[in-house]
Amino acid sequence: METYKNLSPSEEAMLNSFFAEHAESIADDGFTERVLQALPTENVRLRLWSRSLDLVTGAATVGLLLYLGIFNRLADIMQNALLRTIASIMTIDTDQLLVDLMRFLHRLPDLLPSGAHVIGITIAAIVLLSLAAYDIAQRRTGPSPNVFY
Amino acid sequence: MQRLTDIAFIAQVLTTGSERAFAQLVHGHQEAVRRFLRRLTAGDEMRADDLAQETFIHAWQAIGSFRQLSGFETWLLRIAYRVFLDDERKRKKEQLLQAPLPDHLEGREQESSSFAMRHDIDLALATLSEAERTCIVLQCMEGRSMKDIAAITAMPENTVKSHLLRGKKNLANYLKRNGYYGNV
Repeated sequence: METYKNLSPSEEAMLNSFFAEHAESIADDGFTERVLQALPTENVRLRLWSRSLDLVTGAATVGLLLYLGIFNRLADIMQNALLRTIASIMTIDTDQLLVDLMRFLHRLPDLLPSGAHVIGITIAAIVLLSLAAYDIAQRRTGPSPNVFY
Repeated sequence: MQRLTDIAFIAQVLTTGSERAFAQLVHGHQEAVRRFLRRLTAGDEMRADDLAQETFIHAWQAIGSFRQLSGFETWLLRIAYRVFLDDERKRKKEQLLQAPLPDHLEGREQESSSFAMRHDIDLALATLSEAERTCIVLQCMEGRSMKDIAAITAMPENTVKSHLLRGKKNLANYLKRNGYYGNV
C-alpha cells in the first residue's frame, strides 16, 4: 500500500499557484431571482400561520383554564385525595377508602364550575380546529425536509 | 459582520417568512455554493446551478433548524454537499456516469480561454476520488478550515486530513506529469 508523506515545499507552492491561477468568481446573473421564483412560498406562509394559530390557541386555552380557576380546583382535589389516601393507608381501612372514593366520584361534578360543559366543549372545539389547521398545513407543505443539516 | 448580517436576515425569514430577506442571503452566498458545486460536478455549470437552486430551496424549508453552531455558509455548503451526494447516487443508479469524461467537457476544447482554464482544473480534480476532491476544493478553493470541512462533509477531522494529504499528493503528481510547474 502506498504511503503519503507531507508535500515538499515546491509541491505546496505548485499547488498554491495552480489554485490561485484557477480562482473563479461567479456573478449572480439572475440566479437569486430564479431561486426566489422556485421557492414554495405559500407553504411557508401557511406553516407560519399554522404555528401562530397553535400558539394563540394554546395561550387562550391556558388563559381560560386560569380564569376559571380550574387549576386551583384540580390542586385542591388532588391535595384532598392525597391526604385522604395517606390517612386511609395509615388506618388501613379498605372499606372506608372505597366509601371515600365513591363519595369523591359522586361529588366530582359539583366541584366543577357552572356551565363547565359549554366551556369544555368550546376548549375541545378550539383544540380540534387547531389540529385540523395543522394537519392541512402539513399536507400542503409535504413531508418535513431532512434533518441532516 | 457578515455573520451578524446573516443572523438579522435569518431572523427576518423566521418571523415574517420574508422572501426579500432570503433573497439577500441567497445573493450573499450564491457564489460559494455554486463554485463548490461546479468543482464537484467537474465543471458542469447547468447541473451545478440546478443543485445550487435545490440547495437554497432546502435551506428555505429547513431554516428553522439552523442552530448557529457553524456559520450560515458552512451550513449551506453542508446542504449542498448532501444534495450533490443524493444526485450522484441517483445518476449512478440510472447509469448516466459511464463515460470517462462528462459530456459537457467533450468537443468544446477551444471555446474560450476561461473555459480552457476551468477545463484544466476539472480534469486535474477528476483524477481524485470524490472525498479527496471535496476536501481539496473546500480547503484550497474555498479557504475552509479543517473543522469546517469536517462539519460540511460529516467526516472526522483525521479522515479529512488524510484525504487532503492523499489528494494533494495525487494532484501534485498529475500536474508534474502534465508539465505544470506554475510559478515555482
